Amino acid sequence: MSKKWLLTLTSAASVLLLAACASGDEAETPAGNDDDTAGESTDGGSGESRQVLVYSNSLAGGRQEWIDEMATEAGFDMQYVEGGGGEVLNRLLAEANSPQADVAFGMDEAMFFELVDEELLVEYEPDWVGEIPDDALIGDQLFHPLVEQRIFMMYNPEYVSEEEAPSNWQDLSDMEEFQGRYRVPAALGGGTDQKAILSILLQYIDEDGEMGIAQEGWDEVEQYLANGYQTPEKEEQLQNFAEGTVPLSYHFLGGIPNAEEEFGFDAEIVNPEQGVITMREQIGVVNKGDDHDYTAAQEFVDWFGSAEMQSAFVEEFGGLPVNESAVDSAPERLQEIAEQTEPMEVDWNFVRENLNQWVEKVELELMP
Amino acid sequence: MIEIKGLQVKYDDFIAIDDVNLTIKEGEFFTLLGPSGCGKTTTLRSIAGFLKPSEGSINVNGKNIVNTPIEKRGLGMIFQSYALFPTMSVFDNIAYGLKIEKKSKAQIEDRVYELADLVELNEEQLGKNVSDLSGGQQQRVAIARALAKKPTIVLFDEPLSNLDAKLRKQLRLELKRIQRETGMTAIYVTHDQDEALEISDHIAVFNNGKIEQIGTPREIYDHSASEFVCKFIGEANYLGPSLITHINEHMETNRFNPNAKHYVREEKVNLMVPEGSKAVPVKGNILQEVFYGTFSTYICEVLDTTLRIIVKEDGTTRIDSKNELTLYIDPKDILEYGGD
Amino acid sequence: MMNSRLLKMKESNLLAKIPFYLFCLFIAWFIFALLIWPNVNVLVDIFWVDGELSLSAFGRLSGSNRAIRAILNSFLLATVLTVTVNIVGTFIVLVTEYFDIKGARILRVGFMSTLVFSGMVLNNGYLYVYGQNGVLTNIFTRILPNLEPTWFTGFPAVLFVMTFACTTNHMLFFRNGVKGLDNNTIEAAKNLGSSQWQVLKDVVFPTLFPIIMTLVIMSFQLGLGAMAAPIMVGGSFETISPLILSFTQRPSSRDLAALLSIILGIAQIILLVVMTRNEKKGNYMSISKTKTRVTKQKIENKVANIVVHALSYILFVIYTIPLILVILFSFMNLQGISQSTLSLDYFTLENYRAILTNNTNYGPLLTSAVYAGGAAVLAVLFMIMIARIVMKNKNNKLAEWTEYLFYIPWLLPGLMLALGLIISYDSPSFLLLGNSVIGSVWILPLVYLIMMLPSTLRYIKGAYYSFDNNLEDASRILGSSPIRTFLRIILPALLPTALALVALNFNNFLADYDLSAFLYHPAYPTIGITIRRNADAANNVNAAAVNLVYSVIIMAVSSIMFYVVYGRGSKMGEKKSGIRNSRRRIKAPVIVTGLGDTGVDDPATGEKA
Repeated sequence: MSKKWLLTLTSAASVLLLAACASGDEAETPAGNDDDTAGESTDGGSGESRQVLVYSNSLAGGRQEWIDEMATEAGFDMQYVEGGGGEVLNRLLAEANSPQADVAFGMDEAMFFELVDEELLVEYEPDWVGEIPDDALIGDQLFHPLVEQRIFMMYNPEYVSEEEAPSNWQDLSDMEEFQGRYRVPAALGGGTDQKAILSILLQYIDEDGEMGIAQEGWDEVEQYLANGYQTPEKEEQLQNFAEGTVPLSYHFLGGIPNAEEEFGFDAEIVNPEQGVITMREQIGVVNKGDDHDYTAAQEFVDWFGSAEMQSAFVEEFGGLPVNESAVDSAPERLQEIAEQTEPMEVDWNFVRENLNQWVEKVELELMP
Repeated sequence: MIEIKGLQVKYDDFIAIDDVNLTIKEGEFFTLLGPSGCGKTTTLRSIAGFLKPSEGSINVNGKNIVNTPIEKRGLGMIFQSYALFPTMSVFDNIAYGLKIEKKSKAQIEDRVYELADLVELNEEQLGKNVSDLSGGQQQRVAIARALAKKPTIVLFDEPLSNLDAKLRKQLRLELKRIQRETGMTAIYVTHDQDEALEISDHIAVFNNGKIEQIGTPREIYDHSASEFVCKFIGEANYLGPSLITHINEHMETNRFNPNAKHYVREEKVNLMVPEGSKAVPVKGNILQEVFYGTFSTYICEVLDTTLRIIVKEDGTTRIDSKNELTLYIDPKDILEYGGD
Repeated sequence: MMNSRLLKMKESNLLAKIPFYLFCLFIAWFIFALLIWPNVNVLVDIFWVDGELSLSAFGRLSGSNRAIRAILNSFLLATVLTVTVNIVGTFIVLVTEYFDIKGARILRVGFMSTLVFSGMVLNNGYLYVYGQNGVLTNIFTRILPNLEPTWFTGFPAVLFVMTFACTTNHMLFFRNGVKGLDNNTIEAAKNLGSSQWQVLKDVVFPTLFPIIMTLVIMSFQLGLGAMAAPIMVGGSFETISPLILSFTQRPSSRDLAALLSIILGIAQIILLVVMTRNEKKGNYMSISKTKTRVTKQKIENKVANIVVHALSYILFVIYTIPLILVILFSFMNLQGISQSTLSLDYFTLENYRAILTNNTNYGPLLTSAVYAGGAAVLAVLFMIMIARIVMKNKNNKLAEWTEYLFYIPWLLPGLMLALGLIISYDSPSFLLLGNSVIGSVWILPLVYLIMMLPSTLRYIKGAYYSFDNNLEDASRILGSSPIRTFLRIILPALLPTALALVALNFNNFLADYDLSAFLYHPAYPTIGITIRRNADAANNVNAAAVNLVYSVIIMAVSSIMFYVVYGRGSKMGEKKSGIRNSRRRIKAPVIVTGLGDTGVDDPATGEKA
């Protein structure tokens, strides 16, 4: 017994000593594999094994398993890196000098513009591009939209009547009866939370203002945050919404059907005069150098963005496809909300340039 | 034979020992004696190899071992804290060195039991955990462990100082017995002069990183080479200038230097002297008397000096403590230091 | 001739030292390539904007009331927490190990629960008791109708939760200090007429002073770095760590994160220097002399005895109820969980069924276990060697600096270190022997390992102080080579501490998400990634329930780890005596551990093997 134990420790010790030298050899296995992959597809071209490494924030909740099944059937050999939108973006940016991903999808246009800045995308025109409305094609063929998201204010009609309901985000802070009863973001890490703030800020664009926003806009955001209710980590905001303790909130389009079903409410959507922030989850082929063979990646984009796949995808997981031929497959509730709301006109390039500063300013100075 | 020449050990800028020269013969019991911080342990640890000397050489049988790795020196060592391995049984502690030599199991067991006999440990104790033993037993284990590989030289670093007085005396004798039985060369560090006098063949007295004197116990006691040695070994009475002047008056030649310091061992101050003795009589008063059974000590005031004297209680001497008494000091017993 | 012999000797000496020099070279490489270079690069990347040094972060931070308040809050929390945690920690250790308290074993299990029950889950558990709809809140509101149901929030709530959540180190390290006390000294003090309180004050605490100092500083650090409690129960009481995390995740705000993190790091390093000074003054622990095991002291004063018993059981309830509720709630459906209501109507096994039958969970769990386990073992072994070199050369400036350099990971958050590694090695580099970190499987465990180093080194060093240097000398002079001495003598002596650290490190990184998301290899997702995928609130309305179930599963895995490594493992180390193979069959002994050891008994029962 004693000797075995000692042996284990000893061998572990030697492993440590070897770690430095051996780490090289170890490393070669996976890294080497990747190289082989790249080499194969370069040589093979037509590609029997079409390996695609996807980076995405849209793989949770069973999506990855579903995509994997379909993709394997379609002849793809898939690998995934997943995380939150910001995390995936950070990872893509960090790896800029030696990109690993073949395809990135799921992040919004602001994030894809950041990838464009770092020259992390290559041009490719998918064969379904004709089915996309022209105004949704803002990526210079470097990226293309898949699913539309809208972020909007909503209220629970059980507790708030139509007359009482606010007509715009910044009205909330002035309404006596809703002090502390409307949900505001507690943190700005998530995309939806950021959009709530953007919904106010983007109404006050002013070239001379601080970071392109008029002082009035900043004041409105500050008041909006100061008089709202930050959901503590433990509480479920939808539960609060359903129970009426916090009957005013905001949400993203794709999540509404599930939320309504699970928590038992029927949300009323507010469509302010400027419209609701509408962003689109994009897909793009990652730039891995001039002599890289992009065939498999391009085929994946063609396949995944096609009307057929998008229809199947939103039937399974909800969401509003940008692809016009697939819109009808979206859940009825989503189509209904989409009709009730107007997309707000947003200059995503302008947003992308300033978003991080805005968020930081709000976090540092305006959050209570 | 161990020969140490011009040994110096530095800790950063501090010179712990300087110019230490020693010759230790095979099979002898050699003691390094001195107060704490005097350099005796430093010397021992240099021999063991735990410290690297900055200068000098340590020759064992003609071979300089200064650069030999510790484990290749083939020495035995016994520590003040015993340094038994707490994760091993008594048996394993003793067998440790043998296992390193890759002795067979049977050989190891035989040797361990032989050693257990030597240091008087029983079989039950061999199976115990070391912390379940008493201090004396732990030290026996440490001795057995150090002797396991039959080293010809064994180093002792104050091995008995953690034990009580009685046990210390007992183990001291046993050490001497074991040393004689095994014929090993023992280098022994202690600050206890009684211990040193009792068991040593030769003693080196250390002070402030230097050797003050090397000699047999008797030489060191009777002919202490320095004031430090004189005061450190045994009990010595300091003689004040007035008393020295008084003694000088009784002498015709070889008078003492009044500027020097003078001492006399307490047992060398007598109440009676035989006919023809050259001892100088001085008169004094008894301040205090302590009875010890076989002897008594008296503190006497003589001129500017307080003398402690020893009187055997064998019925031959009667002292009336109320009266003035006469003491005799033989000039040849007076030790003189310094005063140039 | 003499000369050539000398030369020969020197050569063989040199030859024997080659492994050591190679190891030194390895250390130098490790420090430069993995600690200094990546961090320098990431700091340059962050603070060097358009070719010049940008220190706007200072202005932006000092202009932010929120950030300033968070910094002050963190220091306030750290200061008060140091007092409360040490009082509670000392108390629970004394009642389980020092005083004779009835039911000490069951108490011990409760007090040890924080080893696996920590972070967000723990706070969740406390909210089931004290939060809105919490068990206790319901009782309170019945008695005091005016009480706000959300009373459990802010600084007092954070302090309360963390006071009980942060006693883990006490139960590991202080506990074994107490167990390693010499009973004789206690008896001697009593003999001299000391009251029980005086014995504690004059003998026990002074003897354990080095451990107490370490724990004081560790609790201060826990307070400074508080993350879960402020998020979960802090309400408007915000601290630095959550801010650092959100700033780190946004490239343009990383300078803020770095600055805040460096503020925290410097506070930690200052404390560390104070502690190191303190250590150099020496410690009072006697070991390897005759020592008898502490016998439990019966509290003589009857009133005091009743009060201490009562307090012990009240604490036990405080510790265990949240844990029990978490386990119970993991069997509730979403309604039950979101309303914090326990009821058979809401009972469901569906959550467990869904997770346990989902095969895609097991691969990632294995990956995480291998990553966290491998990194934990290597980190501990590596730091044992470093600590040894540092302790052997206490007066050597180079060794001192080497030690401090290994505390670098305390200065920046893990994510930033990861970023630094990527920036430095995103293409094959000669510093990594021609490797690049991107796309490699080993970067994630490597970052885990690096993040484990500082606290591991801290505790290992503490354990070395209890190690009698004479043991090493004794082994060497008996003919054992330095390597053999290390393996046979030093390692076994440090084993209990080492195993505890392996288990702690493992648990800390098992369910990691933030680093994983940034670094994991596509072929080997970790359990943190899987949990997020299945429990993301945006995609799964059932997220809360799924999270709870995963938490319970992770706790179970951690408990097993603790039991196997720390409980059984130390027992095995303890039984290593080869004498049992002896012809004459002599029973193997049990060792008593010294200071800084983390004990050799079963943490669950306290039973000796």
